Amino acid sequence: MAGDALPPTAMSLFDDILVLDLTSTIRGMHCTKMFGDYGAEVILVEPIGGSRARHIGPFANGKPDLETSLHFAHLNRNKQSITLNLRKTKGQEILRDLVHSADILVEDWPVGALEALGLGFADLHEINPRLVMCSITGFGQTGPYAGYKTSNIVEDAMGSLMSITGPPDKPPTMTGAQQAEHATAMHAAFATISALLYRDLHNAGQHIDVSAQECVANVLENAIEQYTYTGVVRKRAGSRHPTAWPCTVFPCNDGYIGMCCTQLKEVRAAALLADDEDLANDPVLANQFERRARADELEPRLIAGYRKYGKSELFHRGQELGCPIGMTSDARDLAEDPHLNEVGFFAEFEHPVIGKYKDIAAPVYLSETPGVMRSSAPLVGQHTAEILHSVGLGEAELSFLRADGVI
Amino acid sequence: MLNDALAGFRCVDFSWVFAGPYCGQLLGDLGMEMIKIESRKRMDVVRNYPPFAHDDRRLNSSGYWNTHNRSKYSVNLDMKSEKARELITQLITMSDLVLENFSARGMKAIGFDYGRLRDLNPRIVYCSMAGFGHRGPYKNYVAYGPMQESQAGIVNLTGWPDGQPSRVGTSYPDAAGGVSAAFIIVAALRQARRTGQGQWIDLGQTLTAAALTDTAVIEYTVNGEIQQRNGDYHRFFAPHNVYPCSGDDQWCAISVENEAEFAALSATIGQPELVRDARFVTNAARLQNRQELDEIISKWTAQYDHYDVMHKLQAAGVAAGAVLSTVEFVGDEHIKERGFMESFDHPVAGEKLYPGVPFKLSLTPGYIHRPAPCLGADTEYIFKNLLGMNDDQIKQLDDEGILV
Repeated sequence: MAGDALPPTAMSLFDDILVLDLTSTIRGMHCTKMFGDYGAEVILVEPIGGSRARHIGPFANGKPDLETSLHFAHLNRNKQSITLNLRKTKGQEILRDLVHSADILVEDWPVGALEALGLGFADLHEINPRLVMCSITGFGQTGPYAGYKTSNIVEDAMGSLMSITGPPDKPPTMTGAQQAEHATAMHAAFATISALLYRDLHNAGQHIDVSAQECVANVLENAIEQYTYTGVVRKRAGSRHPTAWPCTVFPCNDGYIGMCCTQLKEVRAAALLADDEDLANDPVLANQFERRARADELEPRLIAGYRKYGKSELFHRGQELGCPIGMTSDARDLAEDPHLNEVGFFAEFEHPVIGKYKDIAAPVYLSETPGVMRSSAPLVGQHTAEILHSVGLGEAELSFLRADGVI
Repeated sequence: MLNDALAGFRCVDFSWVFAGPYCGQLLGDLGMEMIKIESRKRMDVVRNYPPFAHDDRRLNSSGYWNTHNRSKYSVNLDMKSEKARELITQLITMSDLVLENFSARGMKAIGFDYGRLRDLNPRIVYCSMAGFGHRGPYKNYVAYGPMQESQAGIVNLTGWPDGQPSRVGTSYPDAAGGVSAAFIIVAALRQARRTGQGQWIDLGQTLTAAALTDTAVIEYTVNGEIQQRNGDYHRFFAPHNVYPCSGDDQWCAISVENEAEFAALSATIGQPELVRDARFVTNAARLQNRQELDEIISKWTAQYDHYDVMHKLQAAGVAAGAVLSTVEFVGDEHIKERGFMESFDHPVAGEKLYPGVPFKLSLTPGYIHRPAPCLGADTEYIFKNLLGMNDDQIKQLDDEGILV
């Protein structure tokens, strides 16, 4: 349904891949979305009554319903849905049947929960030795915190990112839009595709243990090394970059801009953008450490200039001057951005309940196998019958399973 | 010897700063042979970024560079010379991947745009990671992670409603772009094995970051709502915040998503009656009265160390996490038992600890394969082993001033 659908003869990146998706958190659902967005068949296995993600807002038109969660819709496009009661023996059997033909299984259950149902890696590996199973949890499968509960703010905290985020006069600040969860999902997807490539080459599946705490700590740039190299423990310091200057968020007359200059010519462009030629020619700018040390003194001069202009004007004029500047975009700025629209960053979706809407498509372009938006998020159990037929269950058996609360 | 998921794949790596090197770090830790092409004439700025070992700012002493460039080889070449380009050409013909994060004009300038790469090696996967990608009206705009985060919409959603928006405390779009690239690269390498054809991956770091704004766009296009930053509050659940603990600037994050967790929290803080208090009886009521609820919780948390608060609440089944500083993270008993931090001995920096691999693969675990190379440390090794050169030939290159 997307504008950039592949011609029928072309292959998509994952058109030979079946993913079983036993996830209900962003760290799980975003991981499987990355496979679905590039053509994998992803079967979302939901409990009877639907994924818990269907109960999380925002909801279309503010009306909570199993089929109106925009949180669910965003993370589950291009997937199929089957409902399956995994607490029942028959439900477990059906999952094992599906595992026979699956390439990947991704799950975000508490540590040990699937094992308790006879659906742990050891069990599934016996059924399908080529299966790549990825388990995503807050703290990993081992260690003293393995059983601990998690959430985005807990991961921000325990991964040390929160200790360096936000202004110094406020409590440690959470990442916007749940970045701990997204970072974890992306690392899980990388580990999973790597294991799949290994499986192709060596005919052996394996189990991946992803820790959100470690994924968050892995993206701290150089904060941990600052401690291990120098003993200095970084504190939160607002938006200023610890080394580069100007590299921060500045106010302007209709919002904010973000800027990050690393080279002298860029710093000069930042000064010219503020109409401050004296600063642009000031020799103090020449040394990166000296200009960073004088940030308190120099920033008000830039801000005085930027306050005269709007964020969009500053963005384009700054870029023309060679200044690495961006505006601090909100959702409307993103949705209307000419660049994002021209390069196919968005796609149109049509959902039977939510209706037609535009959302972010696969963000990375590939020359031969770009992402393919095939469908909006599935209704609860929309593909149950179809998928169970494919593993050999007839209409009569389905009726029985329904009556028995298995599907 | 341990198995490597990506053994047998080779990358010619032109990347620098953070995003490309982070991608290469992930690939190298899983066993891909990463050959960095560097030069003193065009030094990676991050080689000059702190922290510096022994507080001595000099070549090869940057911890920032060393952490993201472990598990790689370094070859130093003056890319402006014809001879160097010939050598790079040879390396490309025997590689699987070319990785770079220059501006959109960068590769053309050194003579290796995608058309050329494909002519040299039709199976090559070429990943470019320009700030805005190589297509579209902003393709020539300059961009680094910290401002991409603004443009991408993450800054606007981070921070406090009563103050200015905040950057995440790391150059997050670099890291997000790096891991996005690593994922799609391995997928494209797999595809190249299926089809015999490589392809070009046009990754724009601003785009991979903007894709992480979660429901911001869909909420705008469906409901017309523009999401705002909420500090440490969750829009839909309460309580959800960081709470002050007994130590100086010490905090514990707590998040409650359902009634069972709220009951467990109330009991743990010694106020089981809260579940019957009209102000907190439902999630909707708690959202409305969250400041009052936070004050009650804070009175309890303030009596204990942040680790104590976490352990007590987790024992009761409540999601809680101490806000760990970097020193606490490195010393954390769980992180230690998981073996997440790894050390290597570097010729200039000495023995230091680094974040290792944030996931464990049961068969091909992933680990730091070798210390970050000093500039050009592997030139001779690569030229002898891959290009079959001898000492005299290498000396001649050096005499011609190409190995700089």
